[in-house]
Amino acid sequence: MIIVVPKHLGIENIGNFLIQTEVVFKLVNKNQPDFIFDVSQIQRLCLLGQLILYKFISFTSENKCFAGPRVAFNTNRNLERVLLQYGFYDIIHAYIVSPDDEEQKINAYKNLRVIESSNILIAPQRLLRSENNLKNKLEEDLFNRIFGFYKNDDKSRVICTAIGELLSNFWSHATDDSGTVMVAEGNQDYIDICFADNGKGIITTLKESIPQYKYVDSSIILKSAINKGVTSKPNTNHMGLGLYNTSVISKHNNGYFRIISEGYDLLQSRGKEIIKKTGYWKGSIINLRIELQNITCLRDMPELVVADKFNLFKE
Amino acid sequence: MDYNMGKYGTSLTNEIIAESLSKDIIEQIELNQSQIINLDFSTIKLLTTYSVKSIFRPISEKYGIENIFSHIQLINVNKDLQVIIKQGLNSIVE
Repeated sequence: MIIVVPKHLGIENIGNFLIQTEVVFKLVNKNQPDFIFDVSQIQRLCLLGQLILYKFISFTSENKCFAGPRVAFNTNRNLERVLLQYGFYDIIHAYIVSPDDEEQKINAYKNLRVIESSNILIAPQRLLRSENNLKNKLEEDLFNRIFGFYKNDDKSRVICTAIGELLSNFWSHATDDSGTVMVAEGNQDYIDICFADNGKGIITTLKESIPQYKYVDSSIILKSAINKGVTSKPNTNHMGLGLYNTSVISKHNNGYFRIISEGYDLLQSRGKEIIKKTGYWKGSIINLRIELQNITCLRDMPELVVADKFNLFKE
Repeated sequence: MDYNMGKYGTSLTNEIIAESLSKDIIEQIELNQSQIINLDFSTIKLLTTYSVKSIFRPISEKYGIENIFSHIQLINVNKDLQVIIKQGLNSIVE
């Protein structure tokens, strides 16, 4: 079996890649021999493409889909440069060189790496639910760095609220073996944030938690995930506002908000909402890109503003 | 009396910080029965809906949501953060 990654792996053809690769989710513990993953032709790769490429390699390795898989790289310097630049090189390398060395794979993430020049890059972060201290430190460091880079509290608060809500969403579903990874990059004009995991997936999670969804079409379920309160978890502090708030932030800031999960792809962009079938992905992939030139603050988003029932705030 | 909401960090985004704050606030209410506690948000940069609920839900379970604001008030809260706090508290009522 051979999978050849196309020359250009951008947001517009991620779906084709998912169709090409969905077979691996049926190969858990199959140790299928003679597999080649050919990345030698890649010339252009978006941030989401890098994350999915990495998640493909990590999933197939951790789940022993192939026996002795080979990556055909053919000294693709272009790919090497991009993966190095965005921080994926080391973590992919760890899976290829030491697939059974858990410590080495985790260490490849090191600490939070934020690279700042005229751009900001938050190198891939693995969200390990079991390490509470790491979680706390990661969030505090991450948000301080973003506030420091933008030097504009309105921009920073919109970005960090979206990241914070998405993180909270992923933390709530993440187990260490779901392998949630976050990466982000941007500049003063935009920010691009990507999450991916191989957990239960949004559709399955909602089907399990909302009995009336049992016989509802999966595309409708995924579409409903961005509605207010739908992803709430009974008897917990999760209110189902994470995806809803993120979607509202995206709408008000010329955003591109995409959720891919279990064979469906939901895209909200420039006033349009499109849902379509795509290749199966075990878990969820989220991509949010917002424009920052004329930022709309949370306080100016009517969908988020609710009545002050308790006269809470004193000047 | 004032209680600094930034005691454990300036980004209140997860349950670890939220639980510590919640415990502290309950302790302060118990210690200062006759006084209103001012929860000072002046150093807080960021909040998530989840953390708001994690902070205030245990307090409302102890005193009742209608009663907790006779014990505490929120001061120096940025307008954007007010949006998130109201969302979080409304969800406790609902």
